[in-house]
Amino acid sequence: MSEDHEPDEAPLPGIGLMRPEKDSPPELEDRIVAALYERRLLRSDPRRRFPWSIAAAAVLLLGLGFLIGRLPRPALPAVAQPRFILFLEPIPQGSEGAGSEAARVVEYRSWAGRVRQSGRTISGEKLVGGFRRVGAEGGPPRLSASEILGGYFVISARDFDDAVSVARDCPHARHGGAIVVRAIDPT
Amino acid sequence: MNAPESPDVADRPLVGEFLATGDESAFRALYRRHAPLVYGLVLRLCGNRRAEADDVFQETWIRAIAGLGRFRWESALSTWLCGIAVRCARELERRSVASAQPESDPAEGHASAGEPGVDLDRALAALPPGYREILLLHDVFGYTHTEIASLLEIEPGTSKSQLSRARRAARERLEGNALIFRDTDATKNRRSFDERRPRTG
Repeated sequence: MSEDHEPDEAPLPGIGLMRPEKDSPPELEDRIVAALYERRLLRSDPRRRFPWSIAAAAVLLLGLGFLIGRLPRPALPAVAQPRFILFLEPIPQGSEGAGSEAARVVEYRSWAGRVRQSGRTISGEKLVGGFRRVGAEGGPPRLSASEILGGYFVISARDFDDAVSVARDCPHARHGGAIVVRAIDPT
Repeated sequence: MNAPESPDVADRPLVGEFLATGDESAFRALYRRHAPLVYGLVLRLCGNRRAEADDVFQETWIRAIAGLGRFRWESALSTWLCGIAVRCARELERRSVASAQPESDPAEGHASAGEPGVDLDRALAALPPGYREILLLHDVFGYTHTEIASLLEIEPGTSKSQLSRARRAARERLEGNALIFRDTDATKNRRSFDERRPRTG
């Protein structure tokens, strides 16, 4: 700042100690990524690209499995942790918040990516409306889970608290939807 | 690190990778490098109003990414981003009638009461937007008058005179706060004294 001549008024006491940086809210990063996709300013999501090197390795392993006369067993979770199911209740009309469906999909995908990167497993599906009920004909009408569920995720987590912390970070909760967390019986 | 960095070699490979691939991970690398500085500026430009700051911050990145291919490295990337942030904040300020005064305590959630930065944050948030810009860019972010003149499209001399006025205005607000605190203390002390007085009748 050698080119500057100080103005008449002295700086405020302590202002030089203020940190310019502030931590931005973590969810803002995903929101901005979603907005960039929406405007086609990001070309593609690398997580959606087909991992050819992994595919080639899988084919090789499958071939080796046949050679030694054994089929590969279904993959086990990377870490043998308890599993939990997150039931996503539908987001009430008018509470969805701003942003398109596509932007929300990117948000959910980013969240799922973070869950995976933390060493947990995750799978899930979104459910469409409408259902058919079978069995227990003639019984009293009850509210079916099908009526209250918008989708679900199955995750691995250290314990119940850990599963709840994963659920809290889910974009579904931010968009006004409730999430019910239940443990899956390990037997 | 108050002074802005000079054009930084660390940014060039990140920008190069993003321009070559346009993919999400390259963007996130750039974002994570510059988000704290840009968000720090945006949040204060918006008088610490989070919702507005988030919108301005998002718009800043959208414009930056849209225009990154035209960035010529005539300044540091962070300076260029801050310039976009200032313009986005100005546009929002023009659009928003309600943004003349903070809706809530502007320092709330960002620093604890009693910290030295809280009063300064409040004083900055209470300034007219033009004064706030100059004071932030020069005294907090360390930009020179020449850089500010370029960012705000004004003369360096105007930047200097505006800074002087902005400091005076902020000082008046800080002193005003101090007077309010003294008044509050006086009221509290008087009440305590009244409560201690023996009741008659």
